[in-house]
Amino acid sequence: MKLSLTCLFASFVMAHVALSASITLTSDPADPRPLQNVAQQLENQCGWRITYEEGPISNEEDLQNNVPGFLKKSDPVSLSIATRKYLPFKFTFNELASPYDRAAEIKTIDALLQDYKESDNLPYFAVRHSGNDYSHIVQVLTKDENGNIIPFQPVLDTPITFPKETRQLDTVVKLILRQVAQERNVGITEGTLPTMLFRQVQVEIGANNESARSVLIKALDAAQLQRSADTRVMWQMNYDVLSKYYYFNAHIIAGSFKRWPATEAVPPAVQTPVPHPANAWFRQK
Amino acid sequence: MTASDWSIDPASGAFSLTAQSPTAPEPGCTVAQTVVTTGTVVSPVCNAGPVSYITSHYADGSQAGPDAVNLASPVNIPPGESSTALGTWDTADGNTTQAEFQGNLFNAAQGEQFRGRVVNETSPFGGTDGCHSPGDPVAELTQITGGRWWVQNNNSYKTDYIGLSPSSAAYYQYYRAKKGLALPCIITVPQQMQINTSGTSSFLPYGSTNQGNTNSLQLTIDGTSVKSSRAGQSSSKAFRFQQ
Repeated sequence: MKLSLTCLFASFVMAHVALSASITLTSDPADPRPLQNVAQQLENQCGWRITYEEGPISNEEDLQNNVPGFLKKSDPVSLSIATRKYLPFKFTFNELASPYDRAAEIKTIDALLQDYKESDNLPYFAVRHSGNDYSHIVQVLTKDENGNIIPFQPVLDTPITFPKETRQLDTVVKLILRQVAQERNVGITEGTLPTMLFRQVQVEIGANNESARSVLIKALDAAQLQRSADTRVMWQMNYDVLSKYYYFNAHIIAGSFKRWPATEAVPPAVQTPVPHPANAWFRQK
Repeated sequence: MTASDWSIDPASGAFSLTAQSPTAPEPGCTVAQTVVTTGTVVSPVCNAGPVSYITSHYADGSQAGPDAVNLASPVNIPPGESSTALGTWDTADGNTTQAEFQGNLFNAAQGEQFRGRVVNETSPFGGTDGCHSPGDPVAELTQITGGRWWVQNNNSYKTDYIGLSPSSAAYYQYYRAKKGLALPCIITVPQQMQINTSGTSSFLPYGSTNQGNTNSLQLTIDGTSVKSSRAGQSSSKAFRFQQ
């Protein structure tokens, strides 16, 4: 069980003693995704659903070698072993009051992003909050070959369309990813997934020019309704600078933090998809 | 009064239990000579009926009842399970490196089977992912993946799919070698099996080590093959990254 009792204990303390202690989360120094690493720790601590979506790294200035036996930073970058350029990152936040408060969760995650942007890491991410308990950390900027920072439209912003019918959740997720890959001319493949849940649950889902992220949320919420309120799935869309593929990973959030009734309607994320400019890094799967 | 064995009709769930008074009634007391209890077991976990009836028969030929009562017995839990590697691999797109396994519940001490019950997998604690290294785009795999199965007439359940996606296996094959990291690499995930005790919201773990509580799931990625194991039973197949 990954969940700690920090948030619950903190809630008890806050309610009864009116004290507020701070918690510091530190990214694994070896992990070149410090923001994802800390967001994952927040998920483990508090059961929050924080998805994470990367975009491409298009400029070698944003890369570094990260393999034992290789000198970091001083060596010329070898693309076959490169990772994103990064520094370990710390995030400190105040323990939260009980009961669960979505506004406090959003405030804390917003603070995480703010602190991250002020660190010396690649400042390309933003956060969007949607539905009843989703927060999405998304890469919205990248650096072009000339060193200019330019907007990047997250791949799951891509509008997709397919007819409504009952399908296996696994089929729905792959359908979403394939449409996105086709529309954006990028390679997307499956990483680590909750295999059995995706196989066993059937959902009745369609999409009509909706963002891939919204459709994904609809599918996962439908699965949650069928199984249990605790079956909350989050995803991580990692861009691999080596293979130049996106890897879609997902897992069931551990623990039984019931933060919202599973029957509540989940409004789609507010997004305005825009056409993606051609990018030589991208290729179709 | 005492009663020993009694049976439940397997088709309808109906039962009838007759208890005899072991001693003659004491003077001045009116004690039933026999008490007949009838009912139907309809619960999903086969241990209770919503309504049963008790009828008491007296020496003078009169009777009392039938009176409605609720009867329940302790929920049966299988003492364990075995695993069978079916020797087959999923053929669905994107899943061809996932081996197929079956679980076989042991009968309870009285021989009861568990058909119609639901078994569920959970993570009692985190596993170890010996394939993942920092920076890999494939996320660590340290927990079970949300399986739930109906127990079939032969006391078994399937299919438990165990394995990485082909693209994840291919990634580790190619990039671990590229980064100078060892192959084979092994992922171990603990799987605690539980069986429902009421509906599909209440579950209890059953069995012992590698017989349900807790099974060891292992995924081994080599340079030219993949292997999946469940509680010591394994399937392997040739698999090689194609650039």
